[in-house]
Amino acid sequence: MIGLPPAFIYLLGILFLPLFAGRARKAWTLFAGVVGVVLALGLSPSVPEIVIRVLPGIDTVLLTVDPMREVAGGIFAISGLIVLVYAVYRDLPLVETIGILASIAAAMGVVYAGDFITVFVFWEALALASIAIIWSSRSPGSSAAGYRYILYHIFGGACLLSGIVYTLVSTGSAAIGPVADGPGLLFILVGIGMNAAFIPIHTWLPDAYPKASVVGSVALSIFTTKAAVFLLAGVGGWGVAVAYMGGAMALYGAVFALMQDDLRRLLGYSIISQVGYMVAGIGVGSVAGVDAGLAHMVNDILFKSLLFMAAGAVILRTGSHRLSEMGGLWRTMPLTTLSCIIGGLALAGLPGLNGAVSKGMVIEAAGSVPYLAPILMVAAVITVIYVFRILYLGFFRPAEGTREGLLPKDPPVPMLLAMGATSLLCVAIGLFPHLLTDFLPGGTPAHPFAASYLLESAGIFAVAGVLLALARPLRRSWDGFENDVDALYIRAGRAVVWFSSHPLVEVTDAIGRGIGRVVACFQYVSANPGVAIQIAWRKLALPFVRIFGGRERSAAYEKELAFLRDNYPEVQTNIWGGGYGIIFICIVAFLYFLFSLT
Amino acid sequence: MIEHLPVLLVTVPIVAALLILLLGWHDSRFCYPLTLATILFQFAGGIALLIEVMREGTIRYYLGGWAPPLGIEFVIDTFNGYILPIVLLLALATAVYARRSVEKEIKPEKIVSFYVLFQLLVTGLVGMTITGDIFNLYVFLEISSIAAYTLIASSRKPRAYVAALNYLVLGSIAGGFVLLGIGNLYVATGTLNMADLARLLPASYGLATVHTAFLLLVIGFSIKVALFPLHLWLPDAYTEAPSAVTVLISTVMAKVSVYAMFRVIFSVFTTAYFVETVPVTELILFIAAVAIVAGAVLAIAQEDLKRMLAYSSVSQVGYIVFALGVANQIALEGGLLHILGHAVMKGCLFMVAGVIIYRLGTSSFSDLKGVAATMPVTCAAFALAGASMIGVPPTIGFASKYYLVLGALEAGHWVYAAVLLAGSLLAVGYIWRFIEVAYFSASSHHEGGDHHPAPGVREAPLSMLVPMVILSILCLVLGIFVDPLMKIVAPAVSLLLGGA
Amino acid sequence: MVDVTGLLPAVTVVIPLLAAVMILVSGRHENIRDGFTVAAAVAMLVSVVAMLPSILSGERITISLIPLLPGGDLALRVDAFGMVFALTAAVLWLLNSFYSIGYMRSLKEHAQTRFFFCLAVAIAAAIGIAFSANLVTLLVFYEILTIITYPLVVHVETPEAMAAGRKYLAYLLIGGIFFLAAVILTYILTGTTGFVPGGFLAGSAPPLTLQILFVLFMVGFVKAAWMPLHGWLPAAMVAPTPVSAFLHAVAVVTAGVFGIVRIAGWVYGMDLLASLGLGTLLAVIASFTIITASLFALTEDNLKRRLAYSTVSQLSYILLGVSMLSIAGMTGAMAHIPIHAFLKITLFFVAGAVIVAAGRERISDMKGIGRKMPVTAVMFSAAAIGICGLPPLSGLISKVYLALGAVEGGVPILLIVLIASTVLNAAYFFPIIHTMLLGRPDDERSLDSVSEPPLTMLVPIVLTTVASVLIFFFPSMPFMDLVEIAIGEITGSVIP
Repeated sequence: MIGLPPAFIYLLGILFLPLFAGRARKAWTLFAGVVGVVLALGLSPSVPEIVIRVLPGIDTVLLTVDPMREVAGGIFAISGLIVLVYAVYRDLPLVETIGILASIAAAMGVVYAGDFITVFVFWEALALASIAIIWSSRSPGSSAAGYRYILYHIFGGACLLSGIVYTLVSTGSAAIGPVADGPGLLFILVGIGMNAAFIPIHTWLPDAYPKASVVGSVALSIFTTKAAVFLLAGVGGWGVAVAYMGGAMALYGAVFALMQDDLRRLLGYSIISQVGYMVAGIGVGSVAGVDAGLAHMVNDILFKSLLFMAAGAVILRTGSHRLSEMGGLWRTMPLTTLSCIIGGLALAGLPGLNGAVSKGMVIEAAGSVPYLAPILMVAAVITVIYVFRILYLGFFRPAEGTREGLLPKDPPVPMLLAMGATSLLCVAIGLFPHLLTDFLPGGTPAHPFAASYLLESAGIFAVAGVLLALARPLRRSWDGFENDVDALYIRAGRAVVWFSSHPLVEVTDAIGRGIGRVVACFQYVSANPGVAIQIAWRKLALPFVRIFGGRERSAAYEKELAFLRDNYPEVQTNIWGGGYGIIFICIVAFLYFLFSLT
Repeated sequence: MIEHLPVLLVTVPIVAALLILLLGWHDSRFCYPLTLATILFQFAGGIALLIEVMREGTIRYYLGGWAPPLGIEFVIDTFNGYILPIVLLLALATAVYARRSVEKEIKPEKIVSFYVLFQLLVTGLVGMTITGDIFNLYVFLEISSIAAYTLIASSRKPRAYVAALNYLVLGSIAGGFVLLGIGNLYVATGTLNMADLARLLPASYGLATVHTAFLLLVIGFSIKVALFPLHLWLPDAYTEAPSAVTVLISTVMAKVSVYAMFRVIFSVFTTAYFVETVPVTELILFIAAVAIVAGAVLAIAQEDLKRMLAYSSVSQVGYIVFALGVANQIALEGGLLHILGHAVMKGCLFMVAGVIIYRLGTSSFSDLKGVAATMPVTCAAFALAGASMIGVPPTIGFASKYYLVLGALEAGHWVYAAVLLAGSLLAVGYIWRFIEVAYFSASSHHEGGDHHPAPGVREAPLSMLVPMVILSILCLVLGIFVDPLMKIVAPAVSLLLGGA
Repeated sequence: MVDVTGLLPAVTVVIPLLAAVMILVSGRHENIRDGFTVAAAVAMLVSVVAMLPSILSGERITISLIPLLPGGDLALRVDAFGMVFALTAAVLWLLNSFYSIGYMRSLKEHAQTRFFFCLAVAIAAAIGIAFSANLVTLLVFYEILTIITYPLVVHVETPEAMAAGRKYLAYLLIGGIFFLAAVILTYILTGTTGFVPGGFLAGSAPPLTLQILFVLFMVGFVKAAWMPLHGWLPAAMVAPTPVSAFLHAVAVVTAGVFGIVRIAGWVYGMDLLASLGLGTLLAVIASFTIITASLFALTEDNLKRRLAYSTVSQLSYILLGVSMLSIAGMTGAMAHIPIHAFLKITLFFVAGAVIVAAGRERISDMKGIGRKMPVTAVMFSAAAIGICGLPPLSGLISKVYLALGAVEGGVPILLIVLIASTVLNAAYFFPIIHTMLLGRPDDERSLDSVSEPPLTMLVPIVLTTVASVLIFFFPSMPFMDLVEIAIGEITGSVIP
């Protein structure tokens, strides 16, 4: 099999994209997607590395393959194709199409890159691709959200770079691998964590994803966070801290997801929560843990994109983002409802669907770290609850939210195709876990149907059910709690802008004026130094004249002064007397010499 | 012939002056060619002497074969061998330039006398330059001075008389000081020949007479070179005089006075004297620094081009005296270089002023808006010479500034070096006044598109343009090929430092 | 490092001078005049490129023109680092010439002859700076550059322009004076001013003197627009846009930073700088400038002025790289010179294009302008992204090396500066991108008259952007190779 970095396929796709329009363009993108999948699946560790030397002192490894990369690359390629299929239903803006292809390319690039610098390049590219997607939706608030998004990610990218250079200097090579303790570790954690939506630098995610277009949000939901997870796994060698961070994310995400009303914002928090599982798995550090993390990454990509697609379909048909405005859709949009159920239950971790497989693995692996597994289970319970809310409020409760007369149909065929395919994958992996686990680097098996695990998940569902039954509000729609820590960040940003627009500018202006005055004064004096000095001197003397001289004298004095100032600088005074004063000067100088000498 | 050249340089022009007078009465058209011819001859002679000196070393010429101390002696060494061509070059340029401007600025009936006096002035200066006898120096000084007073007075401007009178008074005071100084020296040594003086004086360095003489001479010459604050005659004189005269006195006369000052200080009193016996260098430095700054500041304040240039002269003289104050090889090289440089650029600048007066009838900035559009060559010349005045490399002005600062720093005068540099910044202040007005302010008859020539005003006549342009180009050429120049300057300086 | 004598450096400097004369002569006939401009640009580029191979092969072409002053003849020496600057200037001048012609003609500017004359002389001076073999020569060309760019700055001749011009002169000439003082002092201390790889000042004077001397040099190179001596640069924005492009990318500021790097690498040498603790001084100045300038840019609504502040901040990246006193940092600094030049000139070209095609200078008036001038807007976005150091543009390269240098030089604190400034760059550039591409004009009509600028302007814009992309993909040809050689020259070692 030829060793061509899959990213290049998509980049070529972008390169020639402007040549096509309408159907041709869609066909072209699909073609690129298919080729990408074929190539990605075809790659095997036997493929030789592609190493070029672009920068002095740094080896650039564009392509290197190992089991982990195979898995990630495969899933990214497939999900990418799914997105492209899903997108066929309408003519996307060119920029958005480019954005989607670019984010696939970037993700693939990150996956197959063999050195940190290449990773960094694609990392930044991913951020750019994402903002292209967000902005091109042109929905209200998308521009602001996109702006914030890019700022966060530029910051993350810069941190990543800082971390990378530490490794470069300490190890002398840019090869991907564990980072030595010290500032470097911190930097790289922040860098990756920004994309992986670590708490508290996760706010960009629920902020931006809901603002993207129907297709856009699907694409976004797949690549950014998962690429980060992959890199986290790829770098490896993390401490328990990361595992706990995962736990925190799982819990935090779940809780906030529960509180949301905007469907896609809810799913956004759900991503954070699920990524939390992956991070936890990877943070544990054991082979099983990493495998679990990767497995969950694959599955989450599938069911989360499925949910986003379903949400997209609903938004497309009903035009409403909010659970409180939906309801009773199962009658009119059966297929959408079906896929949403599959996705939701997979997310909830119902045995028989793919979510259960990996979630089980994670919790199992987490056993080795105290308190981690319980946290994850609590999160799982909450997950079940909010999944129920999605399905119930969105689809099954009697429709009072939706306006009368409007009967939303199922979405166009391409969407259904994409959703169908994804659902199938979910089910398939759910039923036959080895489809996935065989590819895992550690080859850790999954046994979702083992009694212990069935019990465990039964327990989770039971607890959730009880809570739902007891707590009536959980079954009601509420207007979501949409604040998060980013209120702080935004304030900080405003503060910076205010500082630069007011104090900074004013101070500099003041300084400028000051200098200007000095110069002006200089000019004024130099126009006629003699008189200027006289004026100054007379001004100084004025008060004394007022005190000691009589009234009429001081009056005369002031008149004189006024005269001098009024016809300055024309006024000539005898201070430089027609030259005869010179004699005086000479004599003085002469005497000075004489006495200084004799 | 060549061995008699020194005396010829003085006698021929005097004869020529008489000739001009006689023929001029007959027909004033003779004056110009005669003057030109004479000065050309002198110039050639000057060059010849310089070459001779560089080749053979110092030339001594005993007037009438009477050896000193009885007779008068002309001495041409590397120092005045270097000054002489400068003087004559400028004189020549001025002569070429004078014709048209004189027609405009002097009453026809005075034309003849103008050329006569012009001739005498040049002659007096040449005499001052080459004489080896200090009293003879004084005589020539007075000749040139009196010529200068009358020339200034010959202008049509009403205030010219005042200016001339003012100059007369101060000039006479200066002359008096110089004469007194010479007297004291004679009392102390009994000779008037510079070489002898230099030989005899060290014996009596202790005497107050000698000190007095030194001080009298220094002060006298300081007035002559218009060293701040003894410059008060200068602005009026330069402003009111006819342009041609301004060019001559501002360049040649000032320079020769400086030469005389250097000559007396270095060749009569040795370096040893005024550095160790009478430690005035610090004072001189200080005064020079003040002169540089004050002159420039006053120049910035002026509203009239010619007046501004006059004040700038005050500042520039400061540079030269500065070298005197530092009194080490490099600084003095800078000073001598600046004698040439300043002569060339200031000559050019005053010529520009003259041309502008010739065409526009005024030289106050307010009337010069956008003049560059109508007189491009003139303004270009100004720009070039002005750049040199500021000291923009690679002009002669830059070279001399470089040497001066280098010398000052070598002597450890950090502060004064800083002042010098600051002074050159102030030079930007006044040079730019004109540049801005001339180039970058729309003239009253300037409408959009490219600058259109204003009706009426035209570029200067060729006879004025040529010397002007040549001088401005010299500013650049000398600056680039400064190294060959140093081959002449360096020995001159070592001669000065080595004593007579 | 072998020195070979060759006439080519002198020729390169003389070509534009000749052109300048011809421009004056042929002033009345537009096409002939501009023909000379272009011809000279091409010829100069050719002669620069002609020297490239021998430079890349590790040679240095030297020629001593005339003995000028004690301390230095007027001598040229082309080495790798000088080549970096010269090549940048030559390429950009060619593009800028076309652009200027397009710009000046479509705006029917006055005094075009004067304009092109000054440009020609200025580029000659810039090349002279790049090739100068000693401080004196550098000083000579540096001052010429100052004076000759003044008419360009005040070109519009409005009172405000004149004021800006005075400011410009004041800063630069005062700087020049300091530079002169520094040169003379150097000569007094060492008896020479010729550049020596790795520096020649070491041990020539007590540390304090050398520190003062360095400060003199820093003030002398005020053209590098480091804060608080940056005031002249935003002020000079009143000039026509090609001039801004020239100031910001082709010659002037580049000359400033070039000079500082020269001083650091060829007069002081990094070890000496380190032992004098001057790296810290530089780092402080640079960091302060980077951050503060970015803050200024953040709230500036006039596009050209915002770009000006961006330049101020970007230039200090180079100082920052020098201040790290590490090989990687120096590499980053050197690499950033051409990289920034190419990116920034694109931005200014676009700013000018918008003025020509839409007559707008304020960012807030450019909403949705990208619909009518898509190419221009996209190129702007690309260049802006490049300045932020994002792929696929060259800005990323220097960023990587600067970051490397920070750690290598043991000053990780500078990483924070880099991170902060990167974020700030994005903070002031992305709004512009959004406004241009996606903004909705307050009045849809207002865009009707707008269209892409003439080809003479559009083509250079595209070319510079493409160049920046190419530099990203093939940095080594020729710039990084040159930098590598230069680094080898001054440190005697290769980039790790």
